[in-house]
Amino acid sequence: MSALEPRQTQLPDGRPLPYHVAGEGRPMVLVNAYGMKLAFLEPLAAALAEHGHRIIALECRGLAEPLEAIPGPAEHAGDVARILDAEGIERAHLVGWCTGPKVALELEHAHPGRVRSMTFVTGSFSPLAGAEELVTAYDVNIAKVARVVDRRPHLAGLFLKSLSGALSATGEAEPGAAAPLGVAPQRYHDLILEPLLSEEAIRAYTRMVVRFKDHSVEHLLGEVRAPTLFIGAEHDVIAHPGISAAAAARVPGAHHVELAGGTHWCLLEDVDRLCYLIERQAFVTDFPEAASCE
Amino acid sequence: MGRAAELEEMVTAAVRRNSITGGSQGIPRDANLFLLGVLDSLSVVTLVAELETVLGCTIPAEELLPENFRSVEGIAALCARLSPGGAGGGAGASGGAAASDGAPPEVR
Repeated sequence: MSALEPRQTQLPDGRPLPYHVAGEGRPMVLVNAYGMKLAFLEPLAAALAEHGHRIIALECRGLAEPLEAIPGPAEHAGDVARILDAEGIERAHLVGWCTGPKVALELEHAHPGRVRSMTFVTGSFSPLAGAEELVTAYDVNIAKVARVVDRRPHLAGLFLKSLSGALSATGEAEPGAAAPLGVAPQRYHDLILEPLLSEEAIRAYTRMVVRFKDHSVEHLLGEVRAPTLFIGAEHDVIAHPGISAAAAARVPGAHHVELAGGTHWCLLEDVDRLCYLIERQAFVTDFPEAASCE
Repeated sequence: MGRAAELEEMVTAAVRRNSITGGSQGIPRDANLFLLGVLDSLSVVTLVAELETVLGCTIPAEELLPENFRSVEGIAALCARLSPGGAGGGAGASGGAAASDGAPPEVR
């Protein structure tokens, strides 16, 4: 059973803005990857809550939004600020997975006083000048297909078929293919597909992907003031591990580590190592004197 | 060159441009493009978009079936049905009149 408790606040237009909470202690916001279910955050959220953190977990809205109002990273950063307000939290540590770091960077830029530290887990930072080669086949292909479906919404059904493997030679998602299911272990396929099982959701998802891919945060990296840790994964076939290092090199004082043997799915498969790194980043920020004695 | 041969040539070129391996030359016209690794399920989406642009029509949802995209021969047959004089009666396959950034009118 999930340790995460559902809550909601409101968007400016009065619509609900749902999120989840767990634990008590130092506030920490976990920002999920676009289109991914909360289940991907649950093990890490539970571990961090158990270790004295007040966790707020956010699934970035969009899949149920009208196409003309699909939010991007800046709007999602606004959502995080609203949730912090609703929870009465002035400052929090931020953790972003995959697309989450762009949201965190936008929040730190708009509200620098609200961010204690940032930890980016297998982040996607493209476009980044000088790092054009640090993209995966997945990066290239998902962007290409998302743009096609965004321009031709009637192809959403075909994209849905392709995701479910209905077009493949075997009737299943091709292992290694540069599609969301092809780059994920079979055991995660149902979790990944579940939010995308309608043509409306596919259209919204592809618009989210296009907005994300078009959203550069390059200009924000050099302005970051919060202590920041970039975590890449050695065997990540979705977000190139080198892009974390390249982005970290542009953030003043940032640190970078690479999970040896890790994959993009480290949130589920490498919880202990991630929990240690995230906690240490928060601890060093909150108690710099104690950290200097280590 | 006959109409069927023209369509197969057009399809072969489109398959090559959308192939995950970058090639479709030397592949028998009836060979399974998925089994050969020339296409994967994602590249079919971009292939369909290109075919729609070249044909100048929207491929109807009922034609977006795996069996229509498994071989050059099958894809060319689909294009023939959607071309002038074909069963679908669409715009000319060699016309290429559709805008590349918008969905052309659907074939009915």
